[in-house]
Amino acid sequence: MADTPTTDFLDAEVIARLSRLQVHSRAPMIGTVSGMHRSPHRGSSVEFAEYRKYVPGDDIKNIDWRVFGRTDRFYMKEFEADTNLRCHLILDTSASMGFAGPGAEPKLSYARRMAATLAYILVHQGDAVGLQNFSSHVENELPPQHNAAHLKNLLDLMGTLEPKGETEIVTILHELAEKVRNRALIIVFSDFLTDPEELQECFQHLRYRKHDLVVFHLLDRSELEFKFDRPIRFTDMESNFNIVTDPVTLRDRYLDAMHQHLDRLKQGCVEHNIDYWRVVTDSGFEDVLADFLLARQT
Amino acid sequence: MGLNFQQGMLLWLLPLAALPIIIHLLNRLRYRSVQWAAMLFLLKATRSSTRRAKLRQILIMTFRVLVLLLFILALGRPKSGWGGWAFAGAPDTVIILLDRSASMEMEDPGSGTTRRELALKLISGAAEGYAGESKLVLIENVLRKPRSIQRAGQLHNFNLTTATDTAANIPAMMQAALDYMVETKTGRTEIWIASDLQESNWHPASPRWASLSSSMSALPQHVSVRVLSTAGDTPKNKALTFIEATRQGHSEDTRLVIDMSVTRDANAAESLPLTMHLNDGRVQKYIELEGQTSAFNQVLPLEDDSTSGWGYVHLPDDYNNHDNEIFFTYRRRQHQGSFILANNSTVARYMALAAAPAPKLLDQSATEVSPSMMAGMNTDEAAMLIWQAPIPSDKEEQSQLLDFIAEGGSVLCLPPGNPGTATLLGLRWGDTDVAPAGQPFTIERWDEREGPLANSSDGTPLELRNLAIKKRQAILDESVDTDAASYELAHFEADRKPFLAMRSHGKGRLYFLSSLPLRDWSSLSDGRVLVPMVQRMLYQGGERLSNTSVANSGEWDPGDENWVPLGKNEQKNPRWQAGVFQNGNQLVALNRPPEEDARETLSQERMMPLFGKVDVYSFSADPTDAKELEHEIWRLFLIAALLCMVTEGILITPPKPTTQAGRTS
Repeated sequence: MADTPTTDFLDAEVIARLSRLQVHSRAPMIGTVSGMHRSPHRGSSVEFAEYRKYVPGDDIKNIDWRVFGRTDRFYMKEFEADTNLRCHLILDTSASMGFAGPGAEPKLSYARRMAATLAYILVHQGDAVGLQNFSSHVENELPPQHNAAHLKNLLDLMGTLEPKGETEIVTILHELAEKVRNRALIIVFSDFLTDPEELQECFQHLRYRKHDLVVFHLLDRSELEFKFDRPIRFTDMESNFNIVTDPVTLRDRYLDAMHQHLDRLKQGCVEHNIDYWRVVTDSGFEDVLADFLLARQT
Repeated sequence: MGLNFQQGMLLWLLPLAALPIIIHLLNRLRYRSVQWAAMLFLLKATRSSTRRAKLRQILIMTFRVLVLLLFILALGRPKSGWGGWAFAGAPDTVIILLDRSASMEMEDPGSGTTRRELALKLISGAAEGYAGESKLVLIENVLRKPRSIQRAGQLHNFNLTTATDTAANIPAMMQAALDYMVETKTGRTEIWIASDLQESNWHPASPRWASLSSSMSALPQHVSVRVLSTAGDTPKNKALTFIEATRQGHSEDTRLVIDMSVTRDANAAESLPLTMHLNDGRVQKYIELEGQTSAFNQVLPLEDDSTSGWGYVHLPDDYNNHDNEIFFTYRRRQHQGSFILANNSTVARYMALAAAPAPKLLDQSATEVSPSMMAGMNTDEAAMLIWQAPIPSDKEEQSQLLDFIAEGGSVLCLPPGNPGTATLLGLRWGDTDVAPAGQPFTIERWDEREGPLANSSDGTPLELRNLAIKKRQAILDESVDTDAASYELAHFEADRKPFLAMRSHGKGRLYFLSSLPLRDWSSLSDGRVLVPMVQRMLYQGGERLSNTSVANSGEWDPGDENWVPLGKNEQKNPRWQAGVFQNGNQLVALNRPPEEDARETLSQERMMPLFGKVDVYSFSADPTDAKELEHEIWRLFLIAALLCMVTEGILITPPKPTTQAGRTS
């Protein structure tokens, strides 16, 4: 008998507080139903968009008769179309996401709580949410839907995720850019421990497909500070490669390499108008999400 | 050559120096393993810094090992060999100043080697290292004449390195070395002083040291000094010191009273056999010793009414057989005449009273003569001349005074009141100095062992401390002759200027007293210091009239006369050996100078500053391991250990924390 997946990562109180905020797309979305997000197409919302001349075949119900009365010409009145969005939550579940410093929460666990909360908010505002987790390949994939049953399936899947395998984020994101044809909100949760130049190409690819891309870069405090006082055998969580070294002597160079990586990654995101969020896992995820949602309100 | 250790057992701790390496290896075995995600950065950091990190790690390890190594070595109290110097290269000239005074004959209880033998062994061993490269010159304490040495091995069989019963004058030996360096332009020179650091030989208070050190450091050639100290724990030794032998009584009740003292290290009461030889007789008595110094006298009846004779007294053998014997001569008391040549009649009267306080009882006479009359004066029967007038510049008058001294007479010069340029044996009068009202010049220290200010036979000191000197005339020593330097018998407390100076010349002595027995000059006229002082000078001067005398070995000059040792069937050299010597009907008893029995040694802290800016190294000789000269260098090791510790501390200091930038939630 299979274990019942846990949904402990979903905090009802946090959801209650954050549900007053909504997830807005920063780019027009092409959805399947009417929603709260701007669409690139003209539609039937109450918000006036523009006039255009009547051409044969147009539905006469949209002719503005007041304008005809004043000008004796037929003009078609057009309105903005509001639609829902499709959000793809992309979760890195490679082994490195299982890392946690002393007393800290594993990065995957942290990312799962964020993703689950966002999924709940999105579904409850009528948007479709899908989930994809990957390591060296896509391991699970749920296409975006907006019903409550789907949300349950999505959360159940999240509860089963375990960190394992090596990261092939570059390949995975390129494949995603090809696969998702309609404009969507793509939120990636990862520690991005790969070449930032290659990552930038992925991001560029996704932006080329007109997706609204959000990147949550998850880091552990011990990775940022690298404070060790004696020689240590470091074992890579993904490849089991190990190295014995004195962190005291290495610390400067480690921090240099890390900051260089972070700076290049952030710079790439800024250049491609990608919403980049660096998250240290010892900070409260509710605050992180609140900041994220508030920034999206404008 | 190389290192020796005083605490060699501690070197067993040396393996502890490997502790850092062992701890490092253990740490390697017990590395904490950490699962790490951000290996990307770690690999980049490792690639760029592995070589530097390894080098740093090796340096840290090396310094840690060095700290422990040097610390353990310092605990072992390392002593550097003479060879440690040899790295500087051989000097052009090595001048060996050998102290072969009587105290250098002290034997080491363990090895039986005397301090002099040990010094010779070490010095010749060290000098052999410079064979063919450095010129070797020997200056010993008796003759103080530089002698070239062809081979270092000669030192052992050289008659100028044998044992003596003399005292050493280290500043005078240094002066001889300085003169030699100036005259012969020795090039880079090292002066090796072998001495037991006996304070009475080093005269640390002498102003000569200041001029010596400044002259040496001003020489164009580089001069360094190495002091080989043979001073060590003095074994339980006893020294017999001669004070006086006087013939007393008349006709059938004639006796000889010998005043002497025994100096020893112990305090406990002890009985000691004393063997006395008088002419052909031999008497043994036991003396009771209490305290470190016991002064006593022995009375020996003189069976015949002999006018003169000789003898010796000795203690049982101990660790220094050169301080167990004293020699004496005696004679019937003779008339002691003196001439007072004074410009001031009051001074003349006081001095006449001091020179003959009881003329008939003591068979003494004092004749007052005007100084201008000296040329026609017959001094053949005089023991002493008292001169209170400017130093005669006339050569004939000067030579008359000098001849009188050379024959054994005493000359006491008193201040004329005016400064003068004429000198007598290098001494001359300087300016007159008046003490502030109510604050007379006082005298704190003087030679209490011998000379005219010595303590009485029962140890009572003269009342020099009660002397109030209101006016004085400076005594200036302009002598260049190192062999006859003046000796300050007493000096003033405030500025250490001499109160009474003495110079030996031939068999007699010249004295300069800086004040007068006048009310406006001093309280000398009360006689409590003046009378005993003049009487002793008179007694000393009486030697010239006698066919017997007593003198200090090394200070008495036999001249070219043939002096034959009496008593024991052994060859003795009257220049530096104690004994009774005969020349015709004349007898002389030569004894070890009393200052040789003084136990005080000069500490390193007091010795080193004497050399001023001249480089000086001190070595201590170890009689149980006399392979080479050594000095302790543990401080160097400790300093090196501290430097290593500081360097290690700098290397392990973690780099400054880097501030992080970036948008973090």
